Amino acid sequence: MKSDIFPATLQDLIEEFNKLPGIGRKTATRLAIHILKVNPEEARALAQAIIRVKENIRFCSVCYNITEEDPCPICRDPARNQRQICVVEDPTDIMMIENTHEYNGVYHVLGGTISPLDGIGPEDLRIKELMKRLDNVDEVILALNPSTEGETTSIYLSKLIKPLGIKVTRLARGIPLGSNLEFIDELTLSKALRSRQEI
Amino acid sequence: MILQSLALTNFRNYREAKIDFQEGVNVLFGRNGQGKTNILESIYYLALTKSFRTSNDQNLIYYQQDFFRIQGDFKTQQGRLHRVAIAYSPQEGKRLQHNGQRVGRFADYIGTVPLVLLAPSDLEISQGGPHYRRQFLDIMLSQASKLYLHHLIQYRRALKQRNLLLQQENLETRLLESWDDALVQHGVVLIEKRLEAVERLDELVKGYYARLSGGGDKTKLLYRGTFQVPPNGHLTEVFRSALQAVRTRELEQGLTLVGPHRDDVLFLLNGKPLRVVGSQGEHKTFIISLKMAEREYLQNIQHEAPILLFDDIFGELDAGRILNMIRSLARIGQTFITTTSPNFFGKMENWETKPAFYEIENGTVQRRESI
Repeated sequence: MKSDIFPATLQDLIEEFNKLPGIGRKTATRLAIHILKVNPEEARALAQAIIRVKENIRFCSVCYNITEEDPCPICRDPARNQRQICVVEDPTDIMMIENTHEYNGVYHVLGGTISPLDGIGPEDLRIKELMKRLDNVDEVILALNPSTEGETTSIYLSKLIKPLGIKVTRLARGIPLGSNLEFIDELTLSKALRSRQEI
Repeated sequence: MILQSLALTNFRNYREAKIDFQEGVNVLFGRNGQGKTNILESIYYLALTKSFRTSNDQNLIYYQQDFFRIQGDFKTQQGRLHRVAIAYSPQEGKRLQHNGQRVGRFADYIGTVPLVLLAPSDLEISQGGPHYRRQFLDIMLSQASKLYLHHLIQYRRALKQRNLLLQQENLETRLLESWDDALVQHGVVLIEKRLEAVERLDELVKGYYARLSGGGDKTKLLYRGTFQVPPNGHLTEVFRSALQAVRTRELEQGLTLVGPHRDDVLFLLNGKPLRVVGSQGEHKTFIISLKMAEREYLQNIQHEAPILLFDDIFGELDAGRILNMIRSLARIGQTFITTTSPNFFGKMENWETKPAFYEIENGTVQRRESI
């Protein structure tokens, strides 16, 4: 699509949308035209929401979760067990775990996993920051994704943390609850079989 | 597994084709360059989601078209139906549908249609480098076991990552050891499964080779690892210390030097390496025996007879015994054969079900009642 048929200001907006993840040229144009059509208050609300997010949201200086206040509400909560740290890749993982209401410890956001192919080494992740937090900790729970990189990062972290005499655990993997054995993929089933538990 | 019908759109030299096949033997005949092997290639593609002739899917698209599509209706021995469709275009990539559902991870699907291919290039398995023998085992085991395929994919990923890491300066030992652990964890499963499979194949090949050669020749298959596992040795420990033993060399070369990606299978004929002593005929007999063994191995595990594809293997060799074998196989599954000389099959008698003949000419297919 030849796009210089649009006025420059509209063109700028399309360019900005186009930079967003998952937004192609066509969608960017559609979004921009949509903004053109909505009433001024709505457009202003969107613009302000974007500005507010950038002004008010930052990373927690303790756990690197996203927050409006530093430290974040989880880190400041006196009812939370500060001796238990759950290590995750991204802030969205915290949201998932929080939704279970099953975890009462605190978190640490690593910011990714070790991957030489992507040029990410331990120094690019918040590992040093994690190590500084371990003085009064009983257990570190590794809740990284079960990818090759996630698993290797877990192994690496356990090699760093275990010698300090701290318990290191990682999430179990197995059969999703409420699912029928017949519909579980064979791989998940064979993994679950391998890590079966006595009852 | 029976392929009941196949539909091709813009695949190789087929603009549009729909073919119904029968159980037993299907003979595809015609002059060279008319598109016989392309049919086998499309069936293979449906089963394994890739071609055995090219790794570039763009080569599979009909001249000046922008996509291809293959659809197959399969039926299991128990009568269960599987409709499989694969479409590819350079813009959208490859998309797989199984019974109307989009399949995201192809690894979840592989093995649904068990298949064994025998093509002239398979002679490389006994005559070529170790890579061909590992590939043979990997294709067979990936169809037999989802667990194997999973660990194979993860192993390759870990290997790639680790090799890259080995090329870095001032490498932290603890970090390298973490990748060692990942490599070992997945590699151990590959080695265990391959050892088991080679032992089983060894027994099966013995029987087939004796039947095909009609003599007292003895074959032997031996798995050759890059490190020795002593009796009662713990594979994980042995693999890990093997990595430690070559560490200095690995750092120098920036390459992972031990592990299943470097293993080999030794083929022996009467106690001597086939690669060294084998004649052309012996290699051919061995490969056919190996493929028959693969077929039986998959059938025993899947409880489903694999589809057999024979691509132009009936040349100058002693075809009589091989044809007898195919005739006996016709009872338990489905076979596709490409040939330039169909008379061979036409003249044979005592078929349980007579072969179906299809004449291939310039990207068209005609069923022929007689030849």
